[in-house]
Parts: sequence; C-alpha cells; structure tokens
Amino acid sequence: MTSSTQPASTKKTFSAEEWDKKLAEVSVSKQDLNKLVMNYLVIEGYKDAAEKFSQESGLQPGIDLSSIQDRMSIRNAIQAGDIESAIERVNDLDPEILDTNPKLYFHLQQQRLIEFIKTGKIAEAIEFAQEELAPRGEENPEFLEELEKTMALLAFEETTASPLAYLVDYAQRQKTASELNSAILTAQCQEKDPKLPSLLKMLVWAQNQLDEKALFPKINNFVTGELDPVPTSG
Amino acid sequence: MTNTNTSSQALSSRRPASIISPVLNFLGQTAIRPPSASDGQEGSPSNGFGSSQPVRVKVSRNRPPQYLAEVLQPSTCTRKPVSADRRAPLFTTLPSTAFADPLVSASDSLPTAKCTSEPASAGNDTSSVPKALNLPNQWNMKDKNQSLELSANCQRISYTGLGQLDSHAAAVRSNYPIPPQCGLFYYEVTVVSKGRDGYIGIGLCTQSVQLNRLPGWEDSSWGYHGDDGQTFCGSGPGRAGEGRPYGPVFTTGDVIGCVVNFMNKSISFTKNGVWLGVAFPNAVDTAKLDGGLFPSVGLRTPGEIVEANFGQHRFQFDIEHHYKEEKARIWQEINAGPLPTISTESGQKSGDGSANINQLILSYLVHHGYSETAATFHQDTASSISSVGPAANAKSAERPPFEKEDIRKRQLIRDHVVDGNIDDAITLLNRFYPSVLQQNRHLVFQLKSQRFIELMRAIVGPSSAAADAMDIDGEAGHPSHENAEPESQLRSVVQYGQALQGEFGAIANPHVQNALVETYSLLAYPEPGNSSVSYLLDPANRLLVADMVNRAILVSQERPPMPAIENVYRQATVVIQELLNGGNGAAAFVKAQECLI
Repeated sequence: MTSSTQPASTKKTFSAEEWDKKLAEVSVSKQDLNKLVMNYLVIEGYKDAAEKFSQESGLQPGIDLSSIQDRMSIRNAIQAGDIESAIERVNDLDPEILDTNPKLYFHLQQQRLIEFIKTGKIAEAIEFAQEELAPRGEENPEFLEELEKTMALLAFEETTASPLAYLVDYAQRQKTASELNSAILTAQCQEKDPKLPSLLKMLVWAQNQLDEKALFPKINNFVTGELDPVPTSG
Repeated sequence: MTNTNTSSQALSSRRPASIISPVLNFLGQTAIRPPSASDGQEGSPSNGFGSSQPVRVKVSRNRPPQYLAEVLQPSTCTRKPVSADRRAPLFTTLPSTAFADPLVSASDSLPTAKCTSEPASAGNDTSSVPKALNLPNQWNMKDKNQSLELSANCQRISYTGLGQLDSHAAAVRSNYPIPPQCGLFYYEVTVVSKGRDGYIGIGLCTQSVQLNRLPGWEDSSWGYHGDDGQTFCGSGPGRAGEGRPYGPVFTTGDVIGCVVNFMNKSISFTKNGVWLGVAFPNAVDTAKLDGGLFPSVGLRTPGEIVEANFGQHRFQFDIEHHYKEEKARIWQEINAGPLPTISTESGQKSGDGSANINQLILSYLVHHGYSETAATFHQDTASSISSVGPAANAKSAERPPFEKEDIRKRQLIRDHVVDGNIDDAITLLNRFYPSVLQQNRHLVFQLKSQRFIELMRAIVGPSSAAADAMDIDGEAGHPSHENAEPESQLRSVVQYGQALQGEFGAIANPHVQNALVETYSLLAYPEPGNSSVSYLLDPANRLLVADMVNRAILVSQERPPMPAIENVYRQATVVIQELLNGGNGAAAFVKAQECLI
C-alpha cells in the first residue's frame, strides 16, 4: 500500500522553553481560580472555610452558606459511622431524597451493615441484613450481589486482610457520604460536582492523548503541579 | 419557508420517471456494467484539476453554526481580548530581565501580569496562535465533474450528463476540507428533484477520489444512496464490495444530512431531521485523510438536482443537541476516570485522590495568603483525613502544611499594597523579608512607580473614574494628603518623581524608560482620570503589584511562584490546544475553560 502515515516514533517534541511560553500565554485570572476554589469549598461542604474565604477574597459564595450546614452534619455522621442518624437527618431535610433513590438508600443500609460487622455486632448484622436488606436484594439482582459480598465479610476473621477489605475501609464511608451529598445537592437544584476534580481528570485524559503524538513537559505530580522534564525521543 | 421555492422548481425540472423501480434498475445497471478503467488507481490525481489544492473561492463567509462558534474562535483557547480601558501599566508587564541586575533570576517571569497586556503583543508570536479554520461552505466549481452545473451561489447542483452508464456519474467536492478540529461537522442536502432515476449519493471523500463516481464507490469515499437507501464505501460498480442496507430510500423533497464525528471517527446520516444511526464506525482516521475530508455529492441521471446547506440556513436536524450529547458523553468518560493519586515518599497512596485535592486547595490558599481560610480549611480537612489511618499522619508529619506566621506577614504586606499604602508595604517587606527587595530591583521599581501613582491619585481625588472600583477593598484610597495644600502636594509628587528618575533613569532598557515616561505623563494632564493614561489609576493594578510582591517573597523562600492549581489549569489549556492543533477531534469537545465557573 502507498500509506503515507509515519511510524509512531516520529513524535513532535516541544522544548521546555517553547512549552513555558505557551503556558505563560494562557489567560487565567486569580478571580477565575478563586471561583474554582470557592466552588469546591461550597459543594464539598466546607462551610467555615467558605465563609472565611468569602471574607478574605471578597468573593461571594453564590449560595446561602447555612444550607451547607445540614449537608455537612449529615456527611460527618456517615464519616463517623453513624448511618442511622444520617438517614434520620436526611429525612428531616427532605424525605423525597431517599424515597426517590432506591440505590442510594440501599448503599446507606449496606454501610450500616458494614458498621455492624466492623464493630463485631454479628447478631445485629445478621438480623439487619435479613430484615432490611434481603427484601431489597430480591427486587434488584445488583443489590443482591452487593449484599452477598458484604455478608461474606463475616467469613473472615480479619476483615482488613480479606479481599473485601475495601468495604471496611474509611474510603467506603467517604464514598457513601459523597453519594448522599450529591443526592442532596441535586434535590436542592445545585450543582453536585465540584469543578476542580473534573479539571484534574481532564488534564490526565488530555496528557494521555497528547502522549501518543508528542513529547512535552508533563504534570505527573498533581499536588505540586510541577512539570516533568521533556522525555528524550528514542 | 424555502420549501415553496424549491418544490416549484423541482416540479418544473422533473423528468418522466422510469417505469422500472429504481432499486431494480440500479442493480441491473450494476450487473451489466463493464469494469471501469479507473479502478485501482484512486491514488493518482484525477482529470482536469491537477492542483491538489482546493481552490479558494472568495465569498463572504456565512456565520458558522452555533455549535462551531467556539471552535472557530482561536482566541477563546488562548487569551481573552483585553479592552483598552483594562490595560495594565507598562511597569506591571515588565519582564524582570529588563533590569540588568545579575541577582535577578530570569525564571521569575510574570505570566499572570503578561496576560493582561495589550493584545497587540500577542500577535507577534504567530507560531503559537492557531490559524483560523476554514469550514466547507459551498461546492467548489473548480473541483467538480463536467456533467454537473452549479448555481451562482455554488449551493445547488444539477446533472447535465447523459445518465446512461455508471461511468456517467458525476460528483463534486466542497470548497474546503473539514477541519478535524471542529470535532463534529454537519451539512444537509435537499433533493430538489430526483430526476429520472434518483441515483443520488451523499457523503464524503478525500481529495484524490475521482469525480466520475458516486460517493462510496471508491476507497476513501463514503456515501448514502437515495435509490436503495444503502451505504457504500469502496464498494459499488466495478468493485468487489456491495452496498450495505442502512436507511430508507430518499427522493424529491427529502433533506439528507451527513454527520462527521471526529471524536469517535464515525459517519452517520439523517433524513428529514431524524438521525439514522452510525453508517460507518471508525471511518475517519485523520492520520490517513491525505489532504482532508470533503463533503461530496454525486448525481447519475438527467434531471437530478440537489441543494446543499452548509449552515447558512437552519438545519432540519437538531445538530446542536447532538453536539451537546456528544460533549456530555466525553465529559462523562473523563469524569468516570479516577482522580490522579500521588504516591508519597513512604510509597503509600492516598485513598481516592480527594486528599490530593484538599492539598491543592490548601496550597492555593497558602500561596495567596488567605490565612484564615487556610487555617480553617486545614483544620476541617485534617480532622476528616486523620482517620484514614497512619498514611495520612505520616504525610502531615513530613512537612508542616503551612506556617501561619508567614502567611499572615504576606497577607499584611498584600493588604497594604491593595489599600495603596505602598510605603507601609515597603517598610514591612524590609522588616519581614529583607532579602526580597535587595534581590529584586524590578520589584522596587514597580512598588515605587505604584507609589507615584498613589500620590497622583491623592491629588486627583476620588472624582476619577477609578474611584468606584476602589471600593472593592472596602476602603477608599490613601487619605494621607487630605489636608495638604494642592500646590505643595504637587511639589512632593514631582520631587518623588525626580527621585524615581534618579534611581532608575540610568537603566538603559527601553521597557524601563517607557514605563517611566508612561508614569510621568500622569503629571501632564489636568485631569489624569480622563486622560489616555487613566488606566494607570485603575486600582486593579494594585492587585497585580500585590501579586508580584507575593510571588517574589515565595520565590525567595524557594517556593513555586505559581500555585499548583494554576499550573494545572494552564497545562490543561495548552495540552488541549496542542491536541486540537494536531487534529484530535475529541479535544474539540473539551475546554479547560469549562472548568471555570
């Protein structure tokens, strides 16, 4: 064939100087970035920080900060493992939220089950699973699978060393808390996802795409935002 | 509606239809047709128009469809135009290298300040400014088969050939290829008349495809045919393949659209505003589209007339909605990915990356000296992160997240600059960070120039246009000269200016000299607030100077001059821009700006 495509090895290379110049030309104001930070504080529920930030930066938070308080107390309850009181508070806030989200409700109940198991309340765990979770599992095969996995925790003496260790991890609480947080925001007609994580994910995606075509200084450390040197072609 | 017009013309040009059904007739022709002489040499330049360059026909550009508007504005990808009244004083845009001081580090460039400089300076560097994209907007009268006749506006095509054999087919290409950077391209064709048999093919082809063939009969050519509703690609008369059943047939009065999706490389069609699904998945490989991909239409029997709409008129199909759906899809894909996690020194990875985000936020707050916010945020996140386990504790022990004392000092200095109390800022700078001004002569110049401007402002009084904006900081300007006589005030300003000249006038760098002249010229106007240099009095410049001071302090502490969030944003913008420049269609759907609020 008379294919004219070049082999992949001939990637375009950007020098560090060239790249720095491009970076310097990007138009972004401090105000833009302040908004990005405020958006994160508000959506993630850092009420006190958002308040202080509003004072120090002169930026309006865009929403009534007191509405953050409810969300935060609910989030804190889940992160502390107190699922029951979180459910109570959500229902005080807006009973529709759990009524209209069977999956979310299941995950909350599942988290409750996990907390029983974590604290060694085996009898309560089994009773709770049979009474509350099993009927839901029958309705939905996806739920059933998750329930079975959670119950399998009981088979391990040391749950943190089991393949299911992630369920008893703190991150699982955070995951459940985030899911509930999003649902509350949606119910309040607010954006549910902060923009900053999207920006990071977008950068990962974009750098991976450009990697196939070019050699350029990459950001691999997303905490410092430092550029790595341009890899040499070869 | 334009329909009344087209249908009347359609009626007048309609020829007697064949008795045999179009499908049978078409298949019959296919069966008896002898192999074409041109088969297998699609790579060679075709008849008549030796130049492979599309002919640039000068026409007044119609406005592109809305969904392409942002793609076609290269400036949105790089820099926003800055209006003249928001111009920053020259001295805030000075490169530190303007000062021939060996102690000044060249790495301390001022990217944020540069961005507010005059747009004129942006034009100097053509290499990084993407070229404006040309979209196909009409048929190319120099790139068509001789059996086709084009209307004066090059939108309508009529078949004038014999229409006996498949070799009598005639096609045309658009004036420009489709730029892959547009991400999604769409055009529509109205069948004004199906003519004798309605052997009409609508689709796309590359520059090298011969034009005595219907779209889809050659390689690198894709078409949807009206007589049988089938799609073709490298298949058809004289070739091994056959058409594939795809959609309904189309005829007089129908509007057929063609969607090119450079993100998933697919081609699909619409009929009368209804999407018919993907016809060719993975068809559009930008690396193989030598010379680009052109909209193309082919006609085959007498009386056939079609008219294109490249966005000049409202489309039948809701392409905007389709665009939004595609865009939502790619953002979903991006957001479904995990947050990047960074392994710490101890090799431990943070749970889900959210701890990293908290660090990003904290370092941003620390960087800009938002001390109270930083302290509060640190406290809030520390309590939630600490329960993660030993990893988080080990991490926080590695290095103190911030020194509150330092932030507070920087904040104090910053507040003085923002309030216009430059002298106080300089005093504090020398007390807290004595090395900073010693090592950054340009900073001394910037602060003192700003001091001169503040003195001028005190004389001009709050009547200047800038006065309203000064309320940003909750305080009016510097009131120290309120009681002084105007004349003695003016004298002290002139004296200060002379001192400034004495200190910096010897620096030969033209940037410095221009900045000095620009600043002095405030004295020349009876009402500086309404003069051509009134932008010097804009209090927003205090923010720029305050940022510069802050940056210099951080650099003197061997800390990064820019917060990580800003690095990430700039990097994302540039990477997307380079993807677009490289013809990555998916990148057209994604903009770092969309992450701003």
